[in-house]
Amino acid sequence: MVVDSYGLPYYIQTLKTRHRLIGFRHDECGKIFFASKNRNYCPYCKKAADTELREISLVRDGIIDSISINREESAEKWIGNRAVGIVEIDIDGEKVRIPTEFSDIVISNEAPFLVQKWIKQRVDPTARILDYNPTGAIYYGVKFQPVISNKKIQTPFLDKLIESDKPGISSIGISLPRYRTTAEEIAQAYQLDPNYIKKGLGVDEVSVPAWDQDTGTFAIDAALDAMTRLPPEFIQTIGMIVVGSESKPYSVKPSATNVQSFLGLEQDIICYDAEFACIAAGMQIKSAIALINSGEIESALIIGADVSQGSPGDPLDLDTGAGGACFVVSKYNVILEYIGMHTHVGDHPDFMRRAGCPYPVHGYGLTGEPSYFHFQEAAIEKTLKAYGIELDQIKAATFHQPNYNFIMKEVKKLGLDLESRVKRELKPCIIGAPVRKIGNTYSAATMLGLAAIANEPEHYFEIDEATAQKVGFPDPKNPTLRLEPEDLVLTGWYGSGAAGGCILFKTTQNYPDYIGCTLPFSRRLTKSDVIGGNKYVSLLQRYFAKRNIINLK
Amino acid sequence: MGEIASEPLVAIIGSYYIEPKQMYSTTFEELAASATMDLMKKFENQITFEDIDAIFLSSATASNVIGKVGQVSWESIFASNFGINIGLHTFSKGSEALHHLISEVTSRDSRGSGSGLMLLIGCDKRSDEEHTSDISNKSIDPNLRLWNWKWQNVYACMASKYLYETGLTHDDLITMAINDRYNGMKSSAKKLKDFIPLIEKSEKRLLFDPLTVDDFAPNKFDGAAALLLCAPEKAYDFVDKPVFIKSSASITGASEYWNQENTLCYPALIKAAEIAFKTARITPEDIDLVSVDTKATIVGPLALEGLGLMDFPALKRISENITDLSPDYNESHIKFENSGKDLIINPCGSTHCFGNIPGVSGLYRLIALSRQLNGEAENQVDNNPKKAVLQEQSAAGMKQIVHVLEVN
Repeated sequence: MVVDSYGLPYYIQTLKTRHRLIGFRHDECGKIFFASKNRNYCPYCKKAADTELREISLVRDGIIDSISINREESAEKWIGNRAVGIVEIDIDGEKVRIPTEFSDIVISNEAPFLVQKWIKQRVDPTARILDYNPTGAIYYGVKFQPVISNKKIQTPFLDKLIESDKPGISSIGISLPRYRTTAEEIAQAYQLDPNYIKKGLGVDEVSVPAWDQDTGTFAIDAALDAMTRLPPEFIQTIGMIVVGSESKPYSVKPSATNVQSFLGLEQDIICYDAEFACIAAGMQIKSAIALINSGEIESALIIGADVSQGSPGDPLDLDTGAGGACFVVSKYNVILEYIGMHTHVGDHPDFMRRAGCPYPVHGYGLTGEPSYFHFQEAAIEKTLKAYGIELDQIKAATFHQPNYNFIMKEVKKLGLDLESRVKRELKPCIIGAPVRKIGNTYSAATMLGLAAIANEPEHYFEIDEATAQKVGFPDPKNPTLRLEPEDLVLTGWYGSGAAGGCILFKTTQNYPDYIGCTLPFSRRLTKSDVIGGNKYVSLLQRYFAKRNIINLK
Repeated sequence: MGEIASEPLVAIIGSYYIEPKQMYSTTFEELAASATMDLMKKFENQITFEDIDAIFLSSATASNVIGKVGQVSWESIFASNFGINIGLHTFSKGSEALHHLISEVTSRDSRGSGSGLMLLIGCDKRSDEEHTSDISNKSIDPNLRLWNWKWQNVYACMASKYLYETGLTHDDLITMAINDRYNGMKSSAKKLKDFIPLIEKSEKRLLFDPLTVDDFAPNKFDGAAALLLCAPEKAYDFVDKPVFIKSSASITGASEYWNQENTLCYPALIKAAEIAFKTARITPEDIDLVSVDTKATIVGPLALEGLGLMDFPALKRISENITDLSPDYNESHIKFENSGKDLIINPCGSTHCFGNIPGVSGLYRLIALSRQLNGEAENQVDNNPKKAVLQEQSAAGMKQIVHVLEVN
């Protein structure tokens, strides 16, 4: 839908409002209000402010004050309903109302609308597509979505900036869509045996973006999520933003500038999008660390985000999800200290998309052993050797995960699987493999794998009590492990074209505080029919989300 | 001229309107000119165009479609229908035009210049909007448009909050539409029970939840209306029972309605009503007839509360009253009690029946009220009304205009 009179100048003039919900505080009367234009007059005390009204961002959780569901846009009913309304937020006891559009609200066409169910429901802000300009520009803005059931409020784990001994990751932000579709439904649509997806690829379900989500919104939401666990002044230390993706919303025009605008960051920063298939973001971590060590910057946002790119029905598409993750790389408040990174690159076109082609193609037999396994393992070997670390010392590991079977094969090859570890009388290795529940998220895959390890307070293992006792679980009846300071974490990366990568991290003393302030990764995968839970959608809706078959009735 | 409590500002001596409907093949100025000519025919032996001091012309969309000041403006195209040179002032709302007409009459009257006769004309075409965009969407705050609000959403959001705060349901809300449709129906054989099924139907015709198709006035109609007004002291020269306008108040509030202390009211209306009643030297309890702008059902209770005719939640009283009535009720209009006497709300069905035709629906309702007051209405009410109040709003309720009317 393109709204009348919405030219590009108007979009640029209203960026502050759309991206940061800038409101105004009148210090004299204490009232805060939302308005799209700069004001020097308070609508509450009806007085001109003696000094300029102070700007304040209103991006925070709230409750629905009033709501209206639009039922008339039949063409857009494929996923959820368009809904608008007023959100009320509380800032130190001061109630502020904001007009907004709601996302992820699903009401069947036949179901009556019950105001009692929706008004006073908790909502939180999310970056979404607002509209499209006739010239092709995508208008992004903050909307509000129902809060995930039992959502824990994330808060900064340290209340100030504390410089760490070495740089590393200070926070991991996540953005996943609420919608899922199952392997059974995908298989049914293409008349396949569901086991082709469930066993052949090891994927049970994949995440599906809402109509107003794309790589840009996932990148922004992941960055916003990461920042909730850092003190407010942290934002001033950010000198670099990189978005790695192979599903850029624009061929020419970066998504990194969207992140800069939504966060309200300084304009004198390094800011670009990177492309190297699934390792696009991973490759940037070493650069960020180098820039921090050189003193050029203090912190960087390294973001991986993607949506499905495969041709409908293609194996590349059957198990592909959508989502984003953001690593805050910094010298302050580090939770995962960077030990080092090595890569293994070569001209190896195992997967590619030529300019102008709608879908990528891959080299089938070339993509497994000669590509993914060879390049990733070579990088891992180099890295372990360079830092004198043995695989048995690794407490947790994740790898690039185009499907569950690939990652588990890699785990086994490296001897990190449960059976091999137990045989060596070692505690199991924590493996981050969310691909099974969200699908392949390309550039975000390894990053979400690390998020599944580091943003989860406890990891449970299916292991009998005697074995648990033998390998030294503290509570053999409840065989769980958690990351603790000084633990070593291995991350394997792969990007077609091709490059393998390996980054080693070590958890710091800040980690226990961090995990106490973090919404567990598994909570984001909650499936529920209640407001704010994840919802299953049909395959048809999945393809609408990809905009591949927009005219399909 | 008889005694009245305060000096009237202007008198309505004649009116004419074209039945609202879709008229694709008729242009704006043809509609306006047609209504004007038919009105003037009623006075063909008394008044000619040469006697008219000024024309106040309203249309919300004509200037956008045809041309504005500085371009080939739509008012000059209208004037070419009559070949006259005359003071011609354009406005976007009929009630706004009336407000300014009163100032002109009062000003000329005090100087003793001119005949004191003015034409008030309104016309608008909404049928064309099926092929263009919804002009009403430009009446909401740009902030709301940023988040893809439509003008209907403003009313729907107010309705959702109203229902939440009061515990009332959509069945209660739709009674406002029942009131209007019942009153707008001209048949003397009508029965309330024929209108009650609206409650069942409304659930199935969702549009902008919680509002349904039945909650909105038709907005694809075209129409035109014309009124002849003059200085009060000259009114009896032309008609036996002129309708006097005792007061006129036009107040504009902030479009950012979410910043109001209470979002379930129209602050501009509260102020406009206060001024209008004070100027007319009457209180809300004196009112016999009221016409509130029901472009959406939720406006009805909000306007009745804003005018001081009912306390919050007015919708509860309206709903209870209709429920209490016998389904076989077939008096001329649904009545409500106002301080011990009958108050008839929207005697001709208001915007809900005339249609939401932004530049002219206020004039339709002005004519309906004035005909009820002077006894010329087709579906005449039976409480011998003397005093009436007309409320009209635009900009999603942020602009409010109130007129108090009276007959001797």
